[in-house]
Amino acid sequence: MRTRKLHHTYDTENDNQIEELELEIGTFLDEYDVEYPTEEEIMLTIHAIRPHVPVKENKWNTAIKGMASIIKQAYEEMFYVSPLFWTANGLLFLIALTGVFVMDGNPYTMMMVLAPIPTITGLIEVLKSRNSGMAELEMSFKYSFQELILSKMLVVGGFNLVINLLVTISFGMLNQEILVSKLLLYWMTPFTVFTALSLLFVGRYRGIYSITGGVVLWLTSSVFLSQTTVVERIESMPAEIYLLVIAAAALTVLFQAIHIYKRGVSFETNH
Amino acid sequence: MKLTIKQVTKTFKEKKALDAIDLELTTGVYGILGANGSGKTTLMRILASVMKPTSGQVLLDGQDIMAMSHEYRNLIGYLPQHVGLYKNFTAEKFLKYIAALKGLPKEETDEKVDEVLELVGLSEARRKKVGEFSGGMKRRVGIAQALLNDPKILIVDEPTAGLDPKERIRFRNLLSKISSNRIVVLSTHIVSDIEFIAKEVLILKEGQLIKKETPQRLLKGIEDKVWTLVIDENEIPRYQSQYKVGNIARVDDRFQLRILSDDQPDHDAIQDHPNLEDLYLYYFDEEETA
Repeated sequence: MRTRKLHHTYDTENDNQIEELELEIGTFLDEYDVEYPTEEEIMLTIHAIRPHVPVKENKWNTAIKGMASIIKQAYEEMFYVSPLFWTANGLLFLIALTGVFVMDGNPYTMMMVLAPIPTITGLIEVLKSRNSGMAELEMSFKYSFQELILSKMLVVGGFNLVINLLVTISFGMLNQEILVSKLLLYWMTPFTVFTALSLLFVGRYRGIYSITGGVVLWLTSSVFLSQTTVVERIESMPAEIYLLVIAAAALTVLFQAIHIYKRGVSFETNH
Repeated sequence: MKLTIKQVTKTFKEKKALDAIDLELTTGVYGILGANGSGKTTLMRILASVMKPTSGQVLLDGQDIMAMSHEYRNLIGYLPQHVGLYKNFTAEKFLKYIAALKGLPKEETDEKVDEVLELVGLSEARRKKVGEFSGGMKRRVGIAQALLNDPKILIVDEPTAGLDPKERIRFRNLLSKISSNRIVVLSTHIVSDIEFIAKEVLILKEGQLIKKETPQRLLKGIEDKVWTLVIDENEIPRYQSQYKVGNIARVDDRFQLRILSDDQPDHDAIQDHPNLEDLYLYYFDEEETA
């Protein structure tokens, strides 16, 4: 039905003209007849253009390369960290041992209080370039500024981790009554939380005094944390809560590190 | 090697620091002249890839430098206008640290550090702490770090600030020597720094590139505009208010004025050969250059 109706509306003269035109174009195009290439020619063309096809980025490879670069740079950074940082924070090891075995302090509270201090004070090292007016220069180097920040954080955090593990092992070896698993939970919680906060902080940092302020604030709060009633309350908390906090903080560390790496730390955010 | 600056604009809030700059740089020394706030430092930062343009692109042989990322940074040496340095490091330790950040192979580092220390004349002071250095010595450490990776593109912002005349000549000769196979971009207030070594002079004014010529052609453009005139002291203010007056030198008990003017300022005024200082004064008001 529909076809018939359409035929009625067509102008037959126009149809003839179109047919003639098509024929004319067909004849004209025949002069430019292109032979279909052989299979061999097709393959040769594919081989020739293959090197120019952009390689699809392998995200895992890129991430591994980025990590390797940060670890390599962290190794270099270790030799340029101020000796004061190593010695002052190394002393924490002695303070913890003295506090527990000489002054009969609570090993768990002691660990909780001392655990994040190397990371907080280490921020001075991490932000050294900005405080020394070196940030602009460092942004122009092969290792990107964000890689430098992360590699310095790796040195500081890694050192903090080693110190805490050493103290934990020493406590466990010197006093059989101390529960190593509980000790681990007690220091890992503030350590991961402060590492996460530090990473959040380095992206927004404005003044060195805030680091000093952070240390003072934490030490002041630790006086409050050391009070018997507070200690009892902390000790009564189930391990699951600690684990949950540690997991949340660890995830924040991971996401913030990725964020810093991807976003970069531009000149504008540092001046 | 070609560095192309394509329609680069940089805006800070309401202020346009750079306004649609178009440039092409090939090997040789380019001197950027401009008054304070003309956009020199912003352009240098964009070229050093530490600052992103608001719009436009910088291309190295057709590739966007921001996309090239570390590949580009590997090719450049940069000396910012203000650089603090790590004061507790010795010059040698500082340069070794920078070499590590620039990704120089360890086995090449010692030799390269020796070489750049020698180039900037700091071999003797290599074990001294940077914090104990004079302003000029610190600047030389800055220059040394920029040369560490044998950069194909050297970007130096006011490199001779704080250097004494002897050090400036030494630096100028050094730039001249190393510029044969690399692009050197140098911004300065001190016109004599670039007068004899610049392949081209770029004049920036209020964020716009107003001239890009060889020094000779730029000078030719003002060859009939420089006059000297000897007058009495009490006449100086009148000329200063009517003309752009450059050098004022005492000649016995009178004063010789160097005047920039399209017309002869006085029938006693004698035309003189222009130099780049005259050119600078011609394009920038005295208060801008101060």
